[in-house]
Amino acid sequence: MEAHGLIAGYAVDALEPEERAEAERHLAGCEECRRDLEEFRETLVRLAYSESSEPSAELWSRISGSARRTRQAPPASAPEQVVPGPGRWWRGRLPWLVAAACTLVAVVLGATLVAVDRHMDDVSRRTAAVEELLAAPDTHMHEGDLGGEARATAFTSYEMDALMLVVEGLPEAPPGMAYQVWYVDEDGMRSAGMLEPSPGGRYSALSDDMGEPVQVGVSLEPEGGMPEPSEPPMKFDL
Amino acid sequence: MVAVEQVSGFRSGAAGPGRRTVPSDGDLASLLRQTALGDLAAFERVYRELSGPVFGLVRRVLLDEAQSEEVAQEVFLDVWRNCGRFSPERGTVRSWVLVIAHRKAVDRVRSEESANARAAAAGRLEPDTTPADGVERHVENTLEREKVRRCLRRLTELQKDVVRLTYYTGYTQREAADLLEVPLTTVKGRLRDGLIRLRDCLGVVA
Repeated sequence: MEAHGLIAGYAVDALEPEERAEAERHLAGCEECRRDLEEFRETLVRLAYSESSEPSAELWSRISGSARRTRQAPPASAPEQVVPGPGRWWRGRLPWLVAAACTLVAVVLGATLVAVDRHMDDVSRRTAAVEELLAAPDTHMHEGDLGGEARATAFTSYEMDALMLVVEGLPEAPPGMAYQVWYVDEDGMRSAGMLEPSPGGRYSALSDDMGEPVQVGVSLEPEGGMPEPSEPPMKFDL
Repeated sequence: MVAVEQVSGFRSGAAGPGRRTVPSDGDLASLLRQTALGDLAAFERVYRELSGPVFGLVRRVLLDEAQSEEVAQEVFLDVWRNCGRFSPERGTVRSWVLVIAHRKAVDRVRSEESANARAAAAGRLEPDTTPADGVERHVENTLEREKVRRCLRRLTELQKDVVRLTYYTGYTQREAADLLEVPLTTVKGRLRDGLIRLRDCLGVVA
């Protein structure tokens, strides 16, 4: 009932960050609350319309000028659109899954099991970051092939400016070597940090400063990483 | 010419004729789908429909005209960037865009160093009666304003205060409770009651 009472506060953006996360978790499993939220939001649309006031005529030329230079995010893929409610189901249930796992962050995503192993002192920071990324309103999931058996799952949020990447089926890195992640955009490639081994033969990375990359690449590099890839990375589209 | 205007369903621009046909939720959803394909003309029509409420709402929270235009610009660029992710099962285009607008306005006001603007805004609940910049006020807007004003008047004093401090001023419920010197649970309850009363008074159904 406590979380139930957060919906009005959520609708007017008047919650503290932790309450907001709680409200989102609750919404994922409460159809009635989603209907309440939708009605509150439509009510607020009416309040906003009653405040209508035209901005200066130049605003549209500024916006259209910027829009011409701004890449549009790809549409949400079909499976996400059939999910009812204001949040994708994984967005709502992830946080408590995360909390439930101590050293293992296990996320069931349809058939994909994403597992991220962390040292104890790193766990809470990482889980908080993962939770935040997956709870962001614009988080999107992408899947791609990285050659051979390797399958990548990426979660991106422009709002959080962050990427979470999980790769399955990568061969084990030879001694002294590691997998490095790259953001690929029009200006070239930027390092997005190193992939770290996870249980079940998976590799994962959590990277910020994402910007607006067109692709994500992975290459085998000396441990510790390189400023630029020493071989052309395997890439997939975002 | 009037026929063209009616068929297209949109006013031709801010300086256009005084009457306009309001695009339906379905019209806006298809315009947004076209926008997602990079269609700037469709995007402009979305903008023409929503620039007034977006700018008005943001300015209501921020007060400052120039900052409000900056934030309105961010809102529409966000819409441009992410419109492919809009999903109609979760609500209308208007609601989707105005949620973005309110969040951005509130984020801006909370990151503001000076709380003076908020203190000033906190004094006002009812919609602004003066139309901005001499722009022609549409009949629909006037009617809408009147309806909303009438419904706001039906709230209890505490409900009004809570709606004003949260939605229009950008305070959290906790901050509103401190300011009003009432328990947090009271603020939560009054906000909920207030929104329900507004919803019913305005005849909103999901």
